Amino acid sequence: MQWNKLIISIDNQAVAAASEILLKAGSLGNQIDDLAFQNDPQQPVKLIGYFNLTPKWEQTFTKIKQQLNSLRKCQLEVGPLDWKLVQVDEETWQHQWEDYYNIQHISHFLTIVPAWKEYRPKFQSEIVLHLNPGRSFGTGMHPTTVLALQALEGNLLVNQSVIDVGAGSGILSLTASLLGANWVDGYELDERALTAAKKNLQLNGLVKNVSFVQSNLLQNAKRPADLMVANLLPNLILQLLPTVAHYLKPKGKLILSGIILDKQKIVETELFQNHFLILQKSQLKNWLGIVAQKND
Amino acid sequence: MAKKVVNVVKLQIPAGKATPAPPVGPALGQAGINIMGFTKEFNARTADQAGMIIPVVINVYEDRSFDFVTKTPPAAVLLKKAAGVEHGSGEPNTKKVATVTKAQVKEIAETKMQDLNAADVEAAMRMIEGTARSMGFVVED
Repeated sequence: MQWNKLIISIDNQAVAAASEILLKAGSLGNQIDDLAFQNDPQQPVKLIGYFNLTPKWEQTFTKIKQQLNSLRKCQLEVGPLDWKLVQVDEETWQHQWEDYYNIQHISHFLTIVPAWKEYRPKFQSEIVLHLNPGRSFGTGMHPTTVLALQALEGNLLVNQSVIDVGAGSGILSLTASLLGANWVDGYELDERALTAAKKNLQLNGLVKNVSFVQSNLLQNAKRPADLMVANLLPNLILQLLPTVAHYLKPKGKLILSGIILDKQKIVETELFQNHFLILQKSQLKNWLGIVAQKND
Repeated sequence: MAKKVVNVVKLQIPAGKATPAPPVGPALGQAGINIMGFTKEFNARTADQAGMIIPVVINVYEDRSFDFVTKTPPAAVLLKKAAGVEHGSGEPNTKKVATVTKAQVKEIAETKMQDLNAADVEAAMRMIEGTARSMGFVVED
């Protein structure tokens, strides 16, 4: 996909007014680059807005230019006031962060290795997952993923079955399989994430018993499992909870991650109301992971 | 030892709705940050403010880990709230749509002074007044 990127050089005094002009004209969001200004207050600030490519863009652009020019009449210092328009493609930035994606030791036994890096296990029982998250969530770097991975390692017993809700890159499903799961059903709504997860399945040739299926939460779920893991935002966890019981076997365990601390009470209350017993809580930075059990 | 900040990224984006599309994708991709890691955290923290544009300042560290602070809404939003209107004027120089008092301007200037890179309250007030005029607001003494 492509977007129009409009870069405006403008005096700091007029940035607030100019950013409102861009937002009103349909900017998807603005970036304010004031690094040069911070070092030397004589320098202009770069205000960057992004716009969808539309047939009416020329009209929009003309109006933006008129409004920016009229800022002088509002008794604002506008400085050089020049602009540059370029078209940007998502290909230009989506791989840039990969340079900083490194091998991660999640626990004593579990190591995540970027698909493009070489790694030799340090000992025989070390579990190595090869991963290319692409544009999906689940790199292993985020605290919520670490909490979910560590909870999987501590709670999944060999030959148990697993459901992964919101599978993202597939990191949790694939790890569950490598930890000895009997089978894993991974459900994901986003098509890009689903593609990434399927590629990651191929990347880890040893994993044979994982399937990734498109599904909004558990809508397309087929069978109950011994353990369910869901690393989702709190609003999605609240939607999910009333449906979990149908897809967990008796005394099945539920691993929840993605709970930002100020939503802890709401999630705990919902767990209680859906007849779950909280077994374990762990915190990493400002995120909480919960292991709960179906209280039949 | 504290980690070294190598980059600071400032964005204004809709609360609860950050995606890897612009401006988040290009700004953070260039800074070496895992884009989805940011969107998940931002959306979790701002879900309750849906519909608002939220200024956010992201500190990027040497190892490309990051943290961020969300700020009070942009000056224009605070002005609209103070004036009790939903929109600014399409022709601000000829068509005035609202009035704000100097006291309201001062209050907004004090709230936003740091975010605006203003040297003092007077400088911040000049920015807020100019922004108000650019939206077709009359500033009353």
